[in-house]
Amino acid sequence: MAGSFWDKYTSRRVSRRRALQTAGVAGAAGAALLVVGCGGGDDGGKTPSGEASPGASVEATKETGTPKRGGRSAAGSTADFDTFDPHTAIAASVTYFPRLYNVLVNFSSLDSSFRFDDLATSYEHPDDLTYVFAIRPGVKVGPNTLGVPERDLVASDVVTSYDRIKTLPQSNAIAFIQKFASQEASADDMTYTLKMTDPYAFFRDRIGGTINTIAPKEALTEPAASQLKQAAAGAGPYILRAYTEGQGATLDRNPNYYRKDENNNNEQLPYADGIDVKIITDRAALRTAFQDGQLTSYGAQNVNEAKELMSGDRYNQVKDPVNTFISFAMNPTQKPWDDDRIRQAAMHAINRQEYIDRVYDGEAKANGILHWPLGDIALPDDERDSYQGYDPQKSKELIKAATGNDTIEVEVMWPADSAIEEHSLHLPIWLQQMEAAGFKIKARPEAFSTWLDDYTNLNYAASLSLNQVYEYAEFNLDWQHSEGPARNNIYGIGVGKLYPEIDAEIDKVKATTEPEEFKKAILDLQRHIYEKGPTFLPLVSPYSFTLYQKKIKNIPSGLGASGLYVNTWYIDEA
Amino acid sequence: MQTFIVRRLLIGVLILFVLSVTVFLLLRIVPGDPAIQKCGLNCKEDQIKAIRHELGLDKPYFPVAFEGGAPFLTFNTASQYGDWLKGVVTGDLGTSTVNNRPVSESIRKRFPVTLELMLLTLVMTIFVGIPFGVVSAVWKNSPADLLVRFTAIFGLAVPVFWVATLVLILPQEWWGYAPPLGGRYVHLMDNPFENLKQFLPPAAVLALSSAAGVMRLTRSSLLETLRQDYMRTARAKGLRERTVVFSHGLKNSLIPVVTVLGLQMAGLLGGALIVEQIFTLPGLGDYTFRALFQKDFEVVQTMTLYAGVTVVVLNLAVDVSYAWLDPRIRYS
Repeated sequence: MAGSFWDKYTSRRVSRRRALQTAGVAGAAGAALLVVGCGGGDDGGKTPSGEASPGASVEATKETGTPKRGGRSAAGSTADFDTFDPHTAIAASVTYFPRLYNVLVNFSSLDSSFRFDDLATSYEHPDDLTYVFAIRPGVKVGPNTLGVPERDLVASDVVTSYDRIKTLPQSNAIAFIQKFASQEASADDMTYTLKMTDPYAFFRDRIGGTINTIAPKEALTEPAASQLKQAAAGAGPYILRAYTEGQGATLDRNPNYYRKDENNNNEQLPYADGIDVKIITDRAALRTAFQDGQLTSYGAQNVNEAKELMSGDRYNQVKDPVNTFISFAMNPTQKPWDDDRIRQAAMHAINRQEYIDRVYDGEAKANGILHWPLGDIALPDDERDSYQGYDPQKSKELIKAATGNDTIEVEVMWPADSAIEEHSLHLPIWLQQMEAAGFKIKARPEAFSTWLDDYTNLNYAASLSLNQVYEYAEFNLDWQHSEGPARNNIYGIGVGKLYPEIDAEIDKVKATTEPEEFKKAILDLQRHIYEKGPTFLPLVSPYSFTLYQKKIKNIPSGLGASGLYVNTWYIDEA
Repeated sequence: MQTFIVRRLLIGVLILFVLSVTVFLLLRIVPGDPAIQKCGLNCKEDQIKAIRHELGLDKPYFPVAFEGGAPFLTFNTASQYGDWLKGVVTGDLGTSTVNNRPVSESIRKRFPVTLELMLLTLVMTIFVGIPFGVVSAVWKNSPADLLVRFTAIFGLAVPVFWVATLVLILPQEWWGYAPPLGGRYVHLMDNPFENLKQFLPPAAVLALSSAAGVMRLTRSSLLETLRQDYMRTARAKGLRERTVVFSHGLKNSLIPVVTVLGLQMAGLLGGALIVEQIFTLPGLGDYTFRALFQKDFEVVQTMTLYAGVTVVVLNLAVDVSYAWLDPRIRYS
């Protein structure tokens, strides 16, 4: 980097300002910000574990030109990086781990045909509990400041990474890794074998998660481990060159990256020289920076903002389904929600089409017990509507049957100071719909932090909840389980509390690893939950709209968070 | 004078102690567990416990606790407040509960940003507020006076966040220009032009209201001074009007302005919270703003104490400067 401004008067070098002006900017990194914007989360497929398939091609927006090398992208992040520790980080960091680290294999939750074989070239699943991964040779650690040698990742790195997750109580993926009964590296360190304690249907969804990426073992032990707050060492497509608190991070292309572009004469990936991540917390500033060209990507807040920005044909737009939704949760241990009829009355009170039309301007779809982006493991639209269809008259009849009265008073809490615009837009519609169906709402608006405490400690009878980001179906199911999504009997107790057979069925679905059996079982489970009256109702899931400067080409789309693993995008400054 | 300063310093220490205890308690009374916020919704109980332990949130609040029964008093060798206060005294300001980085290190990195913003704002406040105040007083009730007064009222009335957002958005909408946002902070000595591109808009936003206040005060103070007998005497001696206004009038009317400037500097810290956020300046305001939202106990406590120290010191400096500015004032 050039010296100070004053140097140009003494050395007559090219000024720093000019150097900055000529440096390219662009950003596909922001593509997944909306998808994982609520703190990361896993990626994965919607079907249970399957066998290795030939490497599927990457789905992306098709560009006619030949990919070009060079240029830098610039992405904005509303959250700062807390650490680059691959196992304990939250916030912005997790979004960038697919750029820096590796996973064995990743499956997309939105596109069941997408599979990204990363550190593993293939895997076998000889029985319900065992997974055997063949480690890819040549996945080489990039230059780094942690003193980690630039060597190939091997099976023992996987063992060390997962062992570390298991022993760090604050690690994000601990619940998943604790399901591992044993793991081992082969003598030549090129085969990794793990055994699960029980069959686990969502293995495929979780093994490629951004919260359980694999780093070289030297980076995970002292003295390097304590420097992970500021630095990283991995074999991903990029390396972390610099990070400044509150300002941003600079990622450069990893010169050792193993992957080539099969669709472009095996050209070395990634194409872009680097990604500059700028911390911009204020949304108005974020948008202004994008419009000014300081950022190359921008996640529009909603369809209306996307339409407004797209009116001048200055940008490209990528529209993706998103695994987020606002939900209504009922506590079946409190009256009146212990009554099936009252829960079903609430279910029929909700007119999802109104949210789709009024909040998302048509750019969303109705959810059932599973959200629609999860695909064919969610009930088909017609069948779903036959169970939960909008019918306020039926709601009133159910209330009458349960209470003898035309109306019922229920206390409902919600976060009153949500920064999520959609939540504030949902609330009045929801209140009006519930009132129209015979529910007299005793409002309990709470400050966000209060709501969060009460929500996680089951200190509520019912709650209209903030955006959930569930990349796969497991949490939706656990919300109907008596032990709740955290399996701690506190957070979100479900209808299984009233019907142990639902609990048993959820557990059985989660242990069904054969894909077709799993699909049949999860569809049947949803039917049975509807019959009992679900305790957790996802409303609608929208599309996200990410805008890019025109020079960004070949943007991966339709893959959800899995798009972060795809690095065939490029920058065409012409 | 020395006695006065020592007494004021002792009172300042007492104020800071009360302030720190109040903020410490308020942060903990407000619902919202930082461990849950850090861990996320799907965390298990043992994970939350581990984080609480790591953050020191499982320790008692204070070194001394009052019990209902016997023993009446219990003493805790390790406590959240005691540990924090001990750290402050020994220079260890603790570790951020959000990113686990030392608070002192973050403050050290961010302090120059806020300092530059404050100084630039102060310069703009002085160079805009005082001259326009003089113009307004000297040409009282003229169109220039009315324009300046209207502008001052506008500057005082509009909220900082609104002006800041407009200053950010409108130039982009109208002329396709935006100041550099996010990314790297450019140091003044590295590249003054880029640095000023980053700092002038937020400083101007902050200076708008403070300059308006200074302008109005300068005007009223100068008007009162201009009515004094010695001003008539100066004119009667045949001094030029410029000399009368600037040498005799303005000099004597600046004492209240200095007071207000000192207090405004302290108040600017609050404005910096918003402005640094909107203009993405990585300063102490931005740091505090994020910490408040994330319930980052260590940071909020330390930054509140920092703001308290700033106010106490500035107030003391203003009081001491009286004696220097006006020899008639003496402290006993």
